[in-house]
Amino acid sequence: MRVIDQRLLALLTSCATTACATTTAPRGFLPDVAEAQTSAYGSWIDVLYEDQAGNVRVRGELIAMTPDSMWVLGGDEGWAIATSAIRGGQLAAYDSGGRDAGVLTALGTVSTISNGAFLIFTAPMWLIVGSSAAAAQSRVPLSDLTESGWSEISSFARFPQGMPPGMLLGELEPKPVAGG
Amino acid sequence: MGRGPGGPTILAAADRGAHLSPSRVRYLRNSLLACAVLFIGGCTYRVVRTFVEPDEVATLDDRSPFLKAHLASGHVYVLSSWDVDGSSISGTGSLLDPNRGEVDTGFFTLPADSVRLFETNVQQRTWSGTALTVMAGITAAVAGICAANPKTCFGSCPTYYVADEGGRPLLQAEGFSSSIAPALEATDLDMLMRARPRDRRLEVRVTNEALETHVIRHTDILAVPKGGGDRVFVTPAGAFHETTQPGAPSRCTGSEGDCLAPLLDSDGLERFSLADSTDLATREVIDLEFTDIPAGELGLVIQSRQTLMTTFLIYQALAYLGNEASRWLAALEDGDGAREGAEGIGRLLGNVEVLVPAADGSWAIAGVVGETGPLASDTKVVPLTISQGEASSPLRIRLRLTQGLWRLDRVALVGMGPEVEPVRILPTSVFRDGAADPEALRVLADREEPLVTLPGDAYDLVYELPANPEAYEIFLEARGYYLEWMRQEWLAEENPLAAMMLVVDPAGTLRSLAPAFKLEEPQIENLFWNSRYARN
Repeated sequence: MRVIDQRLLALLTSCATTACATTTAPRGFLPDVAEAQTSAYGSWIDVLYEDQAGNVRVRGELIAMTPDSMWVLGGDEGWAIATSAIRGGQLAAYDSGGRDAGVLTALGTVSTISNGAFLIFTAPMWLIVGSSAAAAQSRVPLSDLTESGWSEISSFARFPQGMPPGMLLGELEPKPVAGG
Repeated sequence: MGRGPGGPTILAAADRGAHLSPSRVRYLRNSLLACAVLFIGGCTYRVVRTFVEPDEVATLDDRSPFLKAHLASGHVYVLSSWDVDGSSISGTGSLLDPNRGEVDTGFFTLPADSVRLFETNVQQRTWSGTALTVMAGITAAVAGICAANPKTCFGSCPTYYVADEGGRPLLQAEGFSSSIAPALEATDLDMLMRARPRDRRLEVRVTNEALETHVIRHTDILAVPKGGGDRVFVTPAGAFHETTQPGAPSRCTGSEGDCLAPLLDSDGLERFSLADSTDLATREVIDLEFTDIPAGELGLVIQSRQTLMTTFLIYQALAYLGNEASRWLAALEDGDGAREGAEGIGRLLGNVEVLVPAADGSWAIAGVVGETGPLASDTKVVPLTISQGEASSPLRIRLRLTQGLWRLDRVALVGMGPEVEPVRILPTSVFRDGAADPEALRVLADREEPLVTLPGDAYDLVYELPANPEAYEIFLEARGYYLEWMRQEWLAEENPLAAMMLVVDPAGTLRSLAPAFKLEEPQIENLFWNSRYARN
């Protein structure tokens, strides 16, 4: 592919993914849709909670969730957080594929070259529909942390059944991340 | 996968492969392949995760390819090919510890009540995936149509818009449609039939809506005083005549039977026929009768435009010429031989012949009328060789024309008044994108230096009409030529032998191309009008 084509593709991909939602998960942490079906680890969670020192933000793997507590494992640290102290945050259950949708949108836009003069209709359609689809797709696996959503959030914990009796956070090993 | 909204259309096009060249088949295949990739990749999914308590294992979603069995200890079985047998679960997979290290693998059978929670995961397609697939389908369908018939994906010749009675811009003229090379530069005169200037300022928008370069030598307005007549029409020879007492035919009979209704008024409702399936040069006749015969010398007003048969033939010729097209077009400059050859097909297709009864009972040609171009109707008056006193009532007039080539909007019998001289008016200002363009104004006034426009260009030309503008009939005279942009898809059809046959055997070519045109004819009009290039 010529340089100009690569630049065009990159530009179109960038346009198509402009409105895509992003996460703070390290590269390689989130499984894709297929892997999410077999992965036994918890999803990535970004939590803002309040303690005596003020607002604290922690990030890591969601280990378990009950109506009154949330356990998060981030690297060498672990946190048990009272849900009543949670002020906000976001869970990323898996990799949405939103960027793939953006790339597909760029490829689709380029493919309208085969449409002759009709590309004045089909190319903008691709950009509009494709970027909307990419943006929507990027939000599919994201959940905002709200009190009414604890049950849904717990589904993506390493232990959806709740923290095993006698298990300490310090005994758990974090999910290995390729390259991370 | 692989099937989408565009599927049937693509297959229909591919089924016509009998007349597709190998190169075009490759283009079609590559387009479809690209779209197929999009179909595959366009599948975007969400995961729907469900948990079931041990006492409800019968409700586990068997669409889930994997089953996770979470134990109270934090261990988890991840099973594939799993099955529920009463109160036990079995499957092949792994047992993982709380740190997700593998403890055991193999075939497991475990009592449901030993499990704290079962988890299933099912992929569901999101609307994003559906949207991308639909877009891929649309692109594939259009690509398939363009691959099967690339010549209809592009427009044609300079177009002129003038406000109609309601002040709405209306396509009223197209310039020098048959001038596809510098050697074929020509002057084209079009009556602005529905121009109704409310004051002395007349605005004309000229646009380039095709993948072409337009070279416009000049665009003038000819204002012709109506005198005492109803309207002024121009003859095919270029003489302007006052006319009186326009009368519609009382009867019209064509190959389809009664054809009177579409010819009564200038309303865009047109009479046309389909081309012959074996020979594009096949002629047909339309018989007209007039009972209200105006006084004095008679003339027949015909408002017509061409179908897209000519456009198809021009594009097909360029496709056959392929890489030789530019050399061939240049050859038109050098000698009459090449031009003679180029005009062979045009002569065979001919114009609309107007025939009147001869004394011996046969039909005599009174004149011919017709202008190349499918966009705007052209209105001309053909002087008949008879007057009211010589005509029997009803007056019978026959039109002879190539089948499938003409669209007739209106015919009317008029009394021919005196010839009148037009007032030539040059533009007084030119605007482009709302800003004055003095350079464009200068070259349009200069008969030597042309205005060159590219796809998407639009210029607004302003003319100052004589005082009392409603007393004038308005015509637009344009001179120039245009150059088609060679399309990559056309090169796939390069065929020197077929190109040569266009010149040496135009009649045979019109016969051999008839089946191909008949395949395109049902949809060619929609494709053409949807493919015109507009930037605003």
